[in-house]
Order: sequence, then structure tokens, then C-alpha cells
Amino acid sequence: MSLLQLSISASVFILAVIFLRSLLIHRLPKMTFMFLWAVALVQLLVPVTVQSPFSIFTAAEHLSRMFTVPKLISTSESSTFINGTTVIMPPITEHLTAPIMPLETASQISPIVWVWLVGFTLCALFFIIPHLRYRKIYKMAVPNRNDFIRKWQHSNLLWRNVQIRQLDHISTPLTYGIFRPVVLLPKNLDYDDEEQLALILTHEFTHIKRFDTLTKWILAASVCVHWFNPLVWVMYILANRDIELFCDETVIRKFGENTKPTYARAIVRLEEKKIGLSPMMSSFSKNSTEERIISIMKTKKITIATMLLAIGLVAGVVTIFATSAWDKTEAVTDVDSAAAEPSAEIVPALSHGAITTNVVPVLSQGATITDLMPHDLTYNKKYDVPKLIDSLMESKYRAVYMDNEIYLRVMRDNTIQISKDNGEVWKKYDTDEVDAKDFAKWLLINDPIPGYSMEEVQSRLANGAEVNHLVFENVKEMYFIIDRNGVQIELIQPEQLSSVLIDGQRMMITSAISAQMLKSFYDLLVSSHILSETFAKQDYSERIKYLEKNIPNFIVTK
Amino acid sequence: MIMKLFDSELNIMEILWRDGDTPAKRIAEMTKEKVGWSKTTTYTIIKRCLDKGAIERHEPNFVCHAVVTREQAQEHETTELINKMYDGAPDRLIASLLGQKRLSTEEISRLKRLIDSME
Repeated sequence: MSLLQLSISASVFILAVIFLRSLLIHRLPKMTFMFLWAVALVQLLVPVTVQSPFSIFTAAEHLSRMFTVPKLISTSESSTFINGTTVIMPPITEHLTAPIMPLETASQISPIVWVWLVGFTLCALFFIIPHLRYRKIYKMAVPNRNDFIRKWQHSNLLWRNVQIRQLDHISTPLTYGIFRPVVLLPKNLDYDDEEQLALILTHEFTHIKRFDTLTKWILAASVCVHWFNPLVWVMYILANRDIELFCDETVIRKFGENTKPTYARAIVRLEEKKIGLSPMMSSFSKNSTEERIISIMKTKKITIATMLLAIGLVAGVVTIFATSAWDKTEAVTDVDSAAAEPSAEIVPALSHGAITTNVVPVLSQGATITDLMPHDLTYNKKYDVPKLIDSLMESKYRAVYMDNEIYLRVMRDNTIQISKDNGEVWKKYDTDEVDAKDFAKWLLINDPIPGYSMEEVQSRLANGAEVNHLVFENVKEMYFIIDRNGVQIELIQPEQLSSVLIDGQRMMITSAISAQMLKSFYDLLVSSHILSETFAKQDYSERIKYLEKNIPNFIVTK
Repeated sequence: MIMKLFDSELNIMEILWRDGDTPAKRIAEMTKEKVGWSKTTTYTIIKRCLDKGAIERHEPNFVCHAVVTREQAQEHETTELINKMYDGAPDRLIASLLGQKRLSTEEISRLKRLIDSME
């Protein structure tokens, strides 16, 4: 899933929360909205999706199916390798540094990635530079010598050492620092009003206890990543306000409901002190202070009814708007766990069965990513791959490749033949040419499949090797690096397929290959007159022995 | 001549008024112990005093000399400062978006009435 998709699907949820908030902000416990914003943050920053049959996206799919003629989707055998329970997504950091994408799209998309990076950087600076400037000023605060404050702090100790200091540059109290928090009080505060002081300190200490500074930074980070999405900015503003409201609510719960007017008046008094030379007034600030006052005045005891309403609402909104469309294939494979645990869709926790970030196991169910890595057999001294390559170079062919979907041969004149019926009928395929320089650069960044010498490939590309490119229906891609030494094939697969390959440079094999497939490969080498039957038999049995011994996930199916 | 000084600046001035000319390094040691400032923070404040003309520096050893007397110094009033501090900072946009701008007098009295009516 791309960043844009991530942003769009989260936007639907954010819209829903904004709508709910406008209706119910003064009626529900503020915790409700904090939780909903947290879900939105997870959606924006953690690239994992949870599927639900009740998702709004499922409904959208149903609707669009009703109104459109079903499109014929070319299904290849690869569908057997798509495990319905798994959604694979690269972690976000990959978008930040080196996007793993096919060369063609990479060169097309790079301006967009650049624009995103510029926006991200500007946005990050927009937050960081003023922060550093302010911090420099905050550091100039002087210790506070007020007796009441000292006593109050002694009776409200936190496990983090909190400093309470005084600064004449500010007019409202504030807290900064995540691990070594500092509460800054304005110099012109009324230090004789002990009730107000206690309210202010409790408010700031509640922020500290909840790590609200950290939350605000995470919110800022989501704005930086999704700077192009105006809804994320709206979320940033509203969530920041809700952090305050939640904090106010907690203070009032602690002091009792009859402190509501005192507390609200204290806030207005602080606002009043801000009145300075400029009579400028923003309507937004009017709204937010007014919202805060109303929210304080309307704070009520949480009844069981409001609690249940809040929980029900959160569950409903999250299930409908924060999940992705229900995948039918999952319904088949995962029906048990889904039926047994309907609430599993509500909370996007990693422990639930619906989410895994593993790569799909291919043939062996227990295979992990590393098990599926291709093994380069070229440099295994015991087995004479160079001899195999020599026979290849003497034949009509320059490379032979096989996976679960296709057989492929590269002819001496570099034309490509592909067979989709196990070598019965071969068809010629046209490739498109790719700029060798671009490809060299792309290889350096993405290094799609190890098992070749990067140095060697780069020097071949620099010395005039041609690069041809072929894309298959299921986004599998092949790059053919061609020069007078023969052909070398680089594979890009959306899923790791079992495959065997021999080209001018190496023999490669994925560990999840079956013995049957390896046998077919040798049969192909024989029928293509690359190997003699006896040599093929001998080479096959030796290689099978090696694979069984050294690669535990190798499966022998006769 | 009257000069308005911040609390932080007054802290430095106090030292100079009390002890006479003092090297910056020594001031930093004293403020570290007394106020809890880091060396960089103290030097930043000394630089601000220099820029304002409240103190002068003499080489060697960056000795600070008070130009302003105790009688000439005056505490800053907060209300004026906020404008200054928020000037030129891009964060101002966010601050205003978040509603951290000043309210008008009418708005304030309206909010007070609102509290009264809801009480």
C-alpha cells in the first residue's frame, strides 16, 4: 500500500471522527476522542491494515460491483501463492529512503517522491526550528521560590524529576521536555491565589504524567509525513485541542465539579493577560477558548450509560471506518478465527490473527523470508556450474529460466521465448529497452535479488551492456543484461516464487523449489539440447543431494 | 537612561552589581550553581546584555562590566514581550491555528458572561 493509499484510507476515518466530534464533544468523556485520534495516528503511521466485513470499503466495493460490469481479470497460477490472510506492506521508512519499486515506475515516480521529500523536510523544519528557538528562551527561566509551589510539589511527586521554574517571556503556563519535564510559570501569575496555582500545577502535571508532549510530537510527525493531506492538518489541530480538553476534564474530576467556574475563570484570566498591543483576533481562537470553557462547564460524572455509549460508538466507528475491505479469499481461509473472534477487527493490535507482516510462505508453510532467498550455486566448488554454463554457451540458448508459471529461454540472438504449458508451445516475446545507466543506478539502490556480484554487473553495464525489460501480468518483471559474454537475468517478483535459473553468469535456485520442478528444469535443459541426458541425470542427482542436505526447507515431492 | 531587562538578564546584572567586573566564565559557574543554567544558556544571556548595551566586555578573559546601574534597570512587563517573542517564528501560524492568539476585550467579557450563565 502506498503512502497515498494510507493517507486516503485514514482520511475516511478522520472525517468520521471530525463529524462525531462536532456532534458529541461536550457529551462524551474526552477519553473517547483521544482513543479515536490514537487509532487515526496508528492508521497514518503504521502501514498495517485490518480487514472487516463491516468496513465502509466493503460496502463501497459491493456498490461499485452492482453498477459496473465485472472486469475480466487475468488470473495466472500465481494466485495460488497469494495467501489471503496476509497483507504485505513495506515499512514506511522504505518510502523515505529507497523505494523498492520497478525501474520504470521508479523513474516515473521519482519527481513525486522528490516533491514529497521537500514537503516533508520543510514541514519538519517548520516544527523543529521554532521549537529550538523557544527552547533556548525557555532555558533562561529562573527557579521559583514560592513556598506553596514547593510544598505542592513535595506532595505530588512523579517518577520523573519535574522542575518548576519561572519565566517572564510567557503569559500562560506551559510544560516542555519529555524525559526531563519542566513546568514554566509566567512571571506575572498571581502567586497569592493558591487555588488557581493548584489547578494550574495539576493541569501541567497531568500533561506530564500522560506524556502529552510526546503525543504532540507524534501528531506533528504525522503532519510531516502526510503534509499533502489537509484532513491530517485538521486532525492535528483538533487532537491538540482534545489533549487540553481531556486534561481539563481530569483536573475537574480531581477537584470536584464545583471547581468548574473557578477553573474556567482562571483560563479566561490567563487569556486576558495575553491582551497586548495588537487588537487582532482570530476566529479560530475564539472558537477554541470558547469550546474549552463550554467543555469545562459541561463536564459531568461519567455514568454507565455514557460509558457504554462511548464504547459502542468507538467500536462502531473503528469497525466501519478504520478497517479495509473484506477480502473474500480470507473469508475462506480464515473463517474460523473470524467467527470465533468477531471483536478482533475492532482493535488493530498486532496479536490478532488477521494481521501478519510476514512474507507469504510459498511451498513450505513454515518458510520465512530468509528461507526463500535464492541460493546462488555458481561458486559452490563441488558442483561444476562453470561447466554447465559452458554447455549453455555452446547451445542455441543464452539463458534458461523456470518458475511455477512459465518456462523461459533466451536465444543466441537475444530473442526471448516463453512457454506457459510446460514447454509444449513456445512463443516469442518482445521486450522494451531500458537505459543501462538508469538501471545501474536503480540496481545500486534497490538490489532486488542478491546472488550476483554487484561489482561485476556494474562494470558490465558501464562497458556498454544492453538492458531489456519484460513485465508479466502479475507484475513479475525481468531485466536482461546483454553483452558479448551472454545474458544475465535479474528478477523482480512481487511475491517470492520458486524458480530455477541458469544464465551466462550463474545458476540460481530458490530454496522452496520442489524436486519435481528441478527435474523438469533438467528435462528442459535436455530437450533444449543444452545437456546430454546422462550428464543431466548425474548433475540432477548431485544437486538434489546437496539441496536436501544444506537447505532444510527444500521439499522433495516425487 | 532607563533600560528594561528580563529576569534572566537581571540575574547576570545582579552578579556584576554585587561583585563588580567578573569574567564570563566565572559568571557561568555562579549561575550554574545558583539558577541551574547551562554554560551555553548563560553565554546566550550575556550576549543579549552586550547587544542591549547593558554590559561591556573587556579582554582578556571576557571580563563583563556593568554599564547600566541598578537604578537605571527596570523589569520588563510581560504583555509587551509576547509580541516580540512570537515575531518571525513560523510556529506562529500553528499557534494561531491552535487558538493561542490574543482575544479581544469584548471576547473576554463575553466568555466571562458565558461562565456566569452556565454556572
